[in-house]
Amino acid sequence: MRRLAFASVVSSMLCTATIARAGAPARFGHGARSTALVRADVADTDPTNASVQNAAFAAEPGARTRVGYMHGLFDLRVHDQSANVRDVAGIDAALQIGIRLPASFSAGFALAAHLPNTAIAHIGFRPGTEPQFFQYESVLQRATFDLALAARRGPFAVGVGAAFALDMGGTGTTVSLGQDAQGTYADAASDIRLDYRAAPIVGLSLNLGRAAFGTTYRGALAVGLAVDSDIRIALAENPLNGTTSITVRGVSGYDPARFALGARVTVHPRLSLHAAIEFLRYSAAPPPVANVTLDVRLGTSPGRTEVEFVAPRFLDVLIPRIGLEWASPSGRPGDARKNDDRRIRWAARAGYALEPSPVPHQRGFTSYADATSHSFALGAGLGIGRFWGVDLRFDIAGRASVLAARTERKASLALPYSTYDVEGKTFVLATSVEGVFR
Amino acid sequence: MTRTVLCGLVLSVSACGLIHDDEPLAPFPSDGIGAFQDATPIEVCLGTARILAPTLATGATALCVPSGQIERLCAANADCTGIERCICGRCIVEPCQGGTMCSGEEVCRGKRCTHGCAADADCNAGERCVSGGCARTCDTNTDCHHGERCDALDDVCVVSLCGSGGTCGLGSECESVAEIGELREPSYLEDEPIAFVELRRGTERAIYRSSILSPFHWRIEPTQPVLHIPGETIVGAPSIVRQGTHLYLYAAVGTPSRIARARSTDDGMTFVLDVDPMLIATQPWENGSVGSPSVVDFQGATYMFYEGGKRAGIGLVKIMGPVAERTEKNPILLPESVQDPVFWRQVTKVGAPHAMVVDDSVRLTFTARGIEGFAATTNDKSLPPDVNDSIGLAATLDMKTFTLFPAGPVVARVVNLRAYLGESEASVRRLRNGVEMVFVSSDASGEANTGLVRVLGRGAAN
Amino acid sequence: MVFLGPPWVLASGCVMAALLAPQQTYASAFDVQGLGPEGVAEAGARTTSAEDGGAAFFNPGSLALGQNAATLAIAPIVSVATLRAQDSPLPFEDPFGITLTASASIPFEGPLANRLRLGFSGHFLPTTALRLLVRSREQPFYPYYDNRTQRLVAVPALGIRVAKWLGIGFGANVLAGVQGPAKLEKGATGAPEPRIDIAANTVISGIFGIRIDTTHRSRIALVVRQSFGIPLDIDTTADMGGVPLATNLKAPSAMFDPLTIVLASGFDIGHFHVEGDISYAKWSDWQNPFLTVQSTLPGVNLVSRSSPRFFRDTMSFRIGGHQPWRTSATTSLVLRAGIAAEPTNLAGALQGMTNLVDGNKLTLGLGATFAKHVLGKTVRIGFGASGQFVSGFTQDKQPCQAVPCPVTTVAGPDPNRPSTGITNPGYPRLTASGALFSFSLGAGVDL
Repeated sequence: MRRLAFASVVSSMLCTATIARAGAPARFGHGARSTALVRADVADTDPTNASVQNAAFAAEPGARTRVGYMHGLFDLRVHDQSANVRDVAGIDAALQIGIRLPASFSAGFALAAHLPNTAIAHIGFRPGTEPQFFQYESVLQRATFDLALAARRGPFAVGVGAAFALDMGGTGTTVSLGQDAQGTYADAASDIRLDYRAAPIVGLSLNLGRAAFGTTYRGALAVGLAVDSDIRIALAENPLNGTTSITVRGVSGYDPARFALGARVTVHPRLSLHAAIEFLRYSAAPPPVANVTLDVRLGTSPGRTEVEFVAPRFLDVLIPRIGLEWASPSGRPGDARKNDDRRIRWAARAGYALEPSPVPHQRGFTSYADATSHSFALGAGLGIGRFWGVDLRFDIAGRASVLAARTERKASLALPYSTYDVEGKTFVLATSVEGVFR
Repeated sequence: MTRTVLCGLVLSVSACGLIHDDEPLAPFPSDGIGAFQDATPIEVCLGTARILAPTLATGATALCVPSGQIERLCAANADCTGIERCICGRCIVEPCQGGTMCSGEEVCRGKRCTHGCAADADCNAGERCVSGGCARTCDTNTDCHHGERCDALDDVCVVSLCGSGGTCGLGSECESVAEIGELREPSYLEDEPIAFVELRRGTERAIYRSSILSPFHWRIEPTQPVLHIPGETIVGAPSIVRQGTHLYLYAAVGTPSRIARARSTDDGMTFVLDVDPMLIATQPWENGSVGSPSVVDFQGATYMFYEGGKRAGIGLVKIMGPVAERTEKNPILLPESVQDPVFWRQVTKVGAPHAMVVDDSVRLTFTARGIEGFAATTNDKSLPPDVNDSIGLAATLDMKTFTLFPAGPVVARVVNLRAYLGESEASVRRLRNGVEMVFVSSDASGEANTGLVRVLGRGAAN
Repeated sequence: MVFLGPPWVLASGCVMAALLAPQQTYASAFDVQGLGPEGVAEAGARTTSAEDGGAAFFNPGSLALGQNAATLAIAPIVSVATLRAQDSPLPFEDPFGITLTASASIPFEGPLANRLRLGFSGHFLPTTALRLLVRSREQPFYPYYDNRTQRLVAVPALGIRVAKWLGIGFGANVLAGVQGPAKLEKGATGAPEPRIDIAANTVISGIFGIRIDTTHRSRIALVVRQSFGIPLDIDTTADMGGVPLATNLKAPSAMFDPLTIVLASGFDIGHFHVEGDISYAKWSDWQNPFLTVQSTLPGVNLVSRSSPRFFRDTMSFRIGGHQPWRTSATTSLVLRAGIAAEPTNLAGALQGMTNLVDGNKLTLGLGATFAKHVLGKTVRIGFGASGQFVSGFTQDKQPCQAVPCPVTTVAGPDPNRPSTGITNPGYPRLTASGALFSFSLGAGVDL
């Protein structure tokens, strides 16, 4: 009960993480173990990772909390020029509580948050005709928060939850530039809202001992931007006297709906093989660039050209993932311990994932940059036993991804970036420490 | 130990958005197809004089500088003091005559641009209001701005014009600050800090070589035209290409215009003309003249684009030694082929080609005259857009099929909500990260030339 | 008694840091409306008495000395305002919220057993995490009430029981400022294309609290809450038909809360608990509640006019108390009441263009909590109501007689006759008054 109470407090804190979404954890993993297994742990994920990987694992009895840090370095290039994609870094924090119930039931909940170093959120849009790695920019530069509740009976568990995001809207901003007897003045009023958005999370798991299966679904999520600005000018003899209304609409950092199937097979008491295949529904993605409309009502209103970018026709992708985990004779670092078990436990992990690009052949003014990515990861874990009532475990992982070189050639030579090459590398380092309270 | 490690780990990573990343979303450089940003004028200097288009002339081209007055070198107006301007690398007052418009809020008083005034109180300390303009009080010439002398009678700094405006007395030297002429047809020499440009003074046209001191400052060096053709006063529209250790200059010569080639072995300081012209007008669409050449090496051959007639169209020849053979499809661009019902309407002229190889294609930048904008509106009426010159673009993989940029001009400017400006005779080149373009700026009619301007592609750095 | 030396403090700091959840957090709703039925009923005088999750805001030091039982409570709160200015009602935006509080000991064993206690106080709006509402300078409004509650608030805190009689605690208010450029650039299509790069950078400030139980029946406490607000800095640039327009909008501290120092003392007289709080709030740090605009047009640079210092520091007083009765073996009833007096935070400077209003405030609160033991746990139902009565505000505006006009005057459009044609809504006399009523009904459980 103390554990439950403690967890409820911590969960309350994490609950209010704003502007949350799947972002960096959904791409690189939440916690070092999942990173090392390239997120192939759908069927056998850590309970603290339940809300990211498979909600069903939130029902695992016990109380666990994990804090970690991840840092991703990007070297992404278009036509041999750096795309200036920001690195991603931040803290990954998670909590999971499960309690045993009568009749072989257990229930629990899990929370996971990713808190970037540099900003809680980034709403970013590049001009539509500029080459951009949309999968690596705004979507990764945001705090995320995921919550899951689960129940288990015997080998079967089911979990549900939600991932949260915020939209930016409101009636917008009005700027007034005018003059009176006192001279010129500038004034502004603003009404901006950040409204909640949520996407569902569902997970199932079946643990048969030497084999385990899992499936998970997460809905699509993004930060919508709808901001209106009115600029009212009333100055003596100024050509801009009148009202200019600027409307910006866009969806930043779209994270598609995803469905994953996974399995874990214990081929040897110390060796586990993890596999997963993940479907991402990018075909429903809106343009990752913002549309602007100008309504100009001045003394002389200029003729305007406006552009609205059509849906990008991104492709749905299937991502196969495979991971290996080799553990010490005394067990895996995260497994349950008896009270007097102070043996050091370790595990070595490796993983590979093939991530096809959702970006189709580019035909028009836009030049979305992406390529099929091969990801390799290595990691290790160490369980050092109990201290002050807490079983401690440390994990570390490194993941390197290489974008297969890709050349885009548009049908028309006279379009921006009619021919361009895409290539790049990413490297992610993740560390985490987990404590299990008894 | 464990506790310490744990705490250190946790503390060291507890940033939580506290590390402010002030670096903005860095733009990705444009590849030169559209997305050019604001235009900045280029100062082109001939000796100590800045070349000014006739429409910008202030009526004064030289002034008397007292002997021994030390000039201050500068890179921008901010490096100068008072009413001095940075003209061709040194600080000096800007001479003017009569009702000339000075820049900013200055007025032409006392034959130079200065601050207007009604009384001494309107001027800075150490200045007096003289004939509606502020002037420094002085005891000696050293108290004055560079280019002024101290009038012993009134103890104020004054300016004396010279050149066509008079001569200088003892103790002063006539220093030229403005050369009136039109700069046309600029041509970068690949990625070198050299450009060639045509200078029109009156009815004469000549080609000069410029050193690019900075993106916005060119200096004509040498001060004489690089190509002298006996009996010809019209030599212009340079296109320059380096082949091995030689530079080849293609130019429009004479009236009616023909295209000639010259070669330089001294890095473009002087050229020796080929005996025979490279190309003369023979096709009906060329209307008896060919000019504005642009030469490019592509896929092992040398090609030359040219303008037929007075912007009647653009043709293409393949250069085979001393002769040029017209390609099968000629002309390659006519006004009607550039026209677009939405983005570029009523196109009547096309010419001034500039070719650049980009990867495995050739991009052709050209000038066309038409309407690209949309009508402005007032409360009671519609103000139609002006017909003007703008820069267009086409591209080809094989020198046979040309694809036009689908959204009208790649460079077209509008100012003051509805006034369209003219852009013509562009030259483009790639920078280490991005592209730059120089072109001739004018009003919508194309008659009032305002000099050369430079634009950068989005995301390019100077 | 175990002395908590530096290693233990370091450990507690680690845990707090590890559990920091950067959120849009702020205490304004708790200041303006109250925190939970108990806080509403006792007029906020809970610095020495709150030991549950509410202590995260009231006093993290009290959190440390709470009973080991864990608590969880949820309480909707709604406010009704009768605030008026110039005979027009002033809406109290987003009056409904939900308060969530929780507390529990961290289940360490060994030397840290029962030493560290976590607390959380949160205020949630139903559909919105944040609403940033900045008024124009001429609009009459109460800066004390306006746009200080439209925010998701979360205050996590850690309490450390140094000794049975001494608790210290730390909480964190974490905000996010908004800054960045929003540009309209000419794109390759020839049309303007936006480049937007707005970041919400974390701004953090702390709450520190200490409680000393001088005897079994008396206690004193000190709480310091750092000031903070949401910094806004947005640069927008656009080109309108060849005419450049650049505008910078800046607010150094939107949704401002001042540095607050609370000194409190609580006594038990029999079962009756009474507490008195003195609070100092440094409102003078608040420059103004407006956006500063800097705009560049061709030939014109416009900047928002400077304003006089609007705000002054205040000292406020609160007295609250509660009396429990055991109504049966498993049930109890606690009656609560409180009173608070807070002077206006407006310095009284003569305003020109602006129309800020405020008054001295008297708050009366009343409420009750019913508790019942069920299945070994204590379940609580609480209700609290308060009325905050704001004294009338009056200010006679001064018309400008001749240019240049002082900033403390209002002027019409004609510089030759500046005292005519004045349309400022506060001219010739600015008046305001009103009250704010808050109601909270909540449920909680001691686990």
